[in-house]
Amino acid sequence: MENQPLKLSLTASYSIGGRGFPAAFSADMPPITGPLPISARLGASPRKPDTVSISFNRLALAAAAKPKQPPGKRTPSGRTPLPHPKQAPPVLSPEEARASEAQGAMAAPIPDPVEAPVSPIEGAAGVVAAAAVAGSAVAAGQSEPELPPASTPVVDDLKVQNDTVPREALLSIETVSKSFGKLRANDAVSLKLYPGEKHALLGENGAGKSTLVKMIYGVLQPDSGRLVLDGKPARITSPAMARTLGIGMVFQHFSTFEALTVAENLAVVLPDRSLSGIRKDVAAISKEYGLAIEPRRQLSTLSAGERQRVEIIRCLLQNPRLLIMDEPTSVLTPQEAEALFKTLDRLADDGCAILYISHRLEEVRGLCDTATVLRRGKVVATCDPRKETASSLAEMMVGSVIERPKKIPAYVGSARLEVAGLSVAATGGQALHDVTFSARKGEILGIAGVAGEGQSELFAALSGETPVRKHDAIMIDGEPIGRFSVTRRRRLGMAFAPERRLGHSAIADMRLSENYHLTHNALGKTDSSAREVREAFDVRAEGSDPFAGALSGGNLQKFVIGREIVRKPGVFVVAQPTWGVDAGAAAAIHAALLELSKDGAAVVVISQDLDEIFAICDRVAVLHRGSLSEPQVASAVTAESLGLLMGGSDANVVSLAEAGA
Amino acid sequence: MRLERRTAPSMLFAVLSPLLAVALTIGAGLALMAVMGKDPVKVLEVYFLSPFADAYSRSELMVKAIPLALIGSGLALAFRAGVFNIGAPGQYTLGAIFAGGVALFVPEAYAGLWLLPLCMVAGVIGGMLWGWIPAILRIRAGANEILVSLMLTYVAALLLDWLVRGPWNDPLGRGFPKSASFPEEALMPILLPGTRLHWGLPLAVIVAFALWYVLYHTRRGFSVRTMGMAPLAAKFAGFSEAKTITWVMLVSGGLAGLAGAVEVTSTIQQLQPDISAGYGFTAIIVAFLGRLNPIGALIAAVALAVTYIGGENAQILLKLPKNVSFLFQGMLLFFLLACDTLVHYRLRLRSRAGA
Repeated sequence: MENQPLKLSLTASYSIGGRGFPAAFSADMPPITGPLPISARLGASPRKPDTVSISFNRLALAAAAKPKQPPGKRTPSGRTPLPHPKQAPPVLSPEEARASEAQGAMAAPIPDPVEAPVSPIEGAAGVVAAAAVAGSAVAAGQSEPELPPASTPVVDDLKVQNDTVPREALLSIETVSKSFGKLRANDAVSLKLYPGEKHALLGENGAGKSTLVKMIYGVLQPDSGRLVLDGKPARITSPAMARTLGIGMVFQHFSTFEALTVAENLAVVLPDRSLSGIRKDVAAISKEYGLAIEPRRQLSTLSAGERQRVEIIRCLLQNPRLLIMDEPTSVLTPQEAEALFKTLDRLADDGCAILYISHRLEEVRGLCDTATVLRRGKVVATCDPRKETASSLAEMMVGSVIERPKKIPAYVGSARLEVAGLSVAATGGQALHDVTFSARKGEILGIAGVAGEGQSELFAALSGETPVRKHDAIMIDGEPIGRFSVTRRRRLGMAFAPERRLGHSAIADMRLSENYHLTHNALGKTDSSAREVREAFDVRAEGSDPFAGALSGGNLQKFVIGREIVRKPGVFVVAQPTWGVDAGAAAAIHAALLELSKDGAAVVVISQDLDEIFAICDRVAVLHRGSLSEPQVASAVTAESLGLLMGGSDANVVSLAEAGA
Repeated sequence: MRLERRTAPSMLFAVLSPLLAVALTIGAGLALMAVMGKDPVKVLEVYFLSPFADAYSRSELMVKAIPLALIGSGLALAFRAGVFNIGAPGQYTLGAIFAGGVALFVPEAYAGLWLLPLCMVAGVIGGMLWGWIPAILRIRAGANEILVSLMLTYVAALLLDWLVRGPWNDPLGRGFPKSASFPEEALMPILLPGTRLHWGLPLAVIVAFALWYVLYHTRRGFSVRTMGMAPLAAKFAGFSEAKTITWVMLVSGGLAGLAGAVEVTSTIQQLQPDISAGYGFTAIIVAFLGRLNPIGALIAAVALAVTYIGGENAQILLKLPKNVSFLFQGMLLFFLLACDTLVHYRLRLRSRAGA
């Protein structure tokens, strides 16, 4: 120990409005001779931390500043502290500290973390002394009923918590199997989740990820095998029970009440909280984690991205110990995603385990420290994604190499879709202001933007679901169509695929053959059929004519896109073509869109996924607060510059610069 | 205690749910009768078996089932679209008034074979008119069609009451609130001699099959089902909500009006204040019991007709009040909704189950 440089880490945890916010500080220390400058640091904050833990070279010291929260109101400080994988600061209450003093074990006083500097700890000797104090304090405190049992293992081993000490899993899944009829969705799946771990669950659609997650969240019961939570076998019989056990989940399909406001939706899952209290907490959380949301807005007016924020906030309000995220970043801007990762990092540092489902392998590599790969219901690999490449991960998922479609510069001809001065008044959502763009023959035009900036309104105006008063605001092949209905637009060769699959582009309780007619009913007899779409676009599902609701997200999306492409439309407007879709299906959809544009169609892709936009679009414009920026050549812009436009930096700057040039 | 969505609802029980509801209704009804001191075996026999016992009873069963089937199959269509037309009794009454007006005021000298079809057409128009009012108010003003159609029921009943007491009162009727009897040419021919069973039966069957065809094999029917399942998807498919609402209200109203016309030209043969025996509301149960399928409504109409005939028999033989029929109808609807709910949800007794 003498050879190592001294390292001081300080972790303080605050509780604001029922939410905990950790603050951390660590530094390499020169030999200390005087009082530690902690008070200066903490003094900067007007708030007293609930808990403070200090460690020298991973040797833990701790103290709690505030008395324990009353039972029933769960906060991170009230939560059972869990051993952190990297450094595990035990938390001592003032009673414990007093107990140690009464014992007179060691002379070094427990530092009062808020008011007084931690003094006088001098040099390495002080560290050892302090460690001993911590040890004896906890030993003495074992008779205390409030003492969190999880802090004991740290103390048993006075030689410092390090990585060689076996960690206790928060949740281990032991050879769990689940079948649906003949389909074995999960086959002897085993998985361990540790506190503070960011664990990725990878696999193609239909690999069994959702089934596994549903069993953890209590939606499904395993046929065999068991879940072990905190070392005890647990039967999680309902999502409500999962939530009481500290398991939160952010779903891919949001389970929210359309007619209620954001705060009311949250109140549904937090029955003993007041609406005003929830509003305050939502404001605090959305500020802290960059999850901007207005608690009084009605759910039905929110876009998919905003609904997801509500879901995330809902989980955070319940102080989860394990947070399951199902494709969380699919509708976020790069900056928003970064903010989310910071949130997740902070939660993980707080001891919360994250089970992260995503198809974005780069993202998983950047965020997660462990990855479990499922294929056809079986675990095929467990690895450290940081040590893998995206393509090696993809190979594990698929079992073979995925061919990514390549963007070939297309022949770009005359404008097929022209939008000029399109304005739509706000009716509950975002108004559109003077939107002007054109999509030309052979090109894919990307419309980027954060969720809820007018995408759904723009889509509805283009599709004719809300016809536009100004007839020549939208023209297809030179013909004005602003006031035309969806059907008349389709007859002129337009095709549309909205963002929401179930309930908008498809109906769950109808068979594929009937869903096919949703967009073909007005077109007279066509040669194609639902069966053809399934064959041409490799839509996988059981049965000859299954219900749309029985298809996985990726397969249904392939069907929805394929249904339009078989018509060979002249103008195709598609929103979020690969939202929540696995890598294989996304590649197939992108390839189909590229093929369509190559054949002379104009394709408009409204997407919040910049990777997608850069992968397939020729030009890109950004939608922000209902205004569209000047379209730019995609290869000439960076994700950062688009991100700035998406975030609301003045869109005119670009057009002014172009005008000046 | 709370409800929890089943992950895989049993298809078998989804189909069996109406039968289960009927069985539960009979069981609960008999238990109630036993508590009231009646012999349950006797009640079962009189109430549920006697309507099938002889040829005449069976024909009477059909007579009651005809208006129920006509109204119920139309309502099934409207409910499928998510348009809740609760005003069938009013549309039925208007149909009866229109048909009665034609029957009463076409001069006898001109009457011929075409008079009855004309009455039917007039009845349909009357029902459509009463169905169109809630439709246009919903489309133009956003008025709730449930309330508007329900309230129009009372307007229609008072209109009929006023007509038969006032302008249309039978001059030879000694002041009784009724119209003159309809001429022979305006009466529905009897199908089976010796009974009251009339040509309304084949009409109801044809209507049910025609609606079934429309609902499942035409673009119009597709738009109706789409709108009921996902209004947003219906809009995306290019179906106008206003058109669909208007269409289903006209069809269900028109069929209720047809039922009214059939009823006054067959069993009643004149206009009087009470012409319906509650068919318009009972048909709501018929539509749901028939799984919102027009052909299902045809079968359900017979089941509900049993409560009418059985109720009459029970009144005569067991001295049970006639309103027991409505009690059974109410129980049937209750059990049906409960069965449907439990097919899709399971009941958890403890709110927080332990590990």
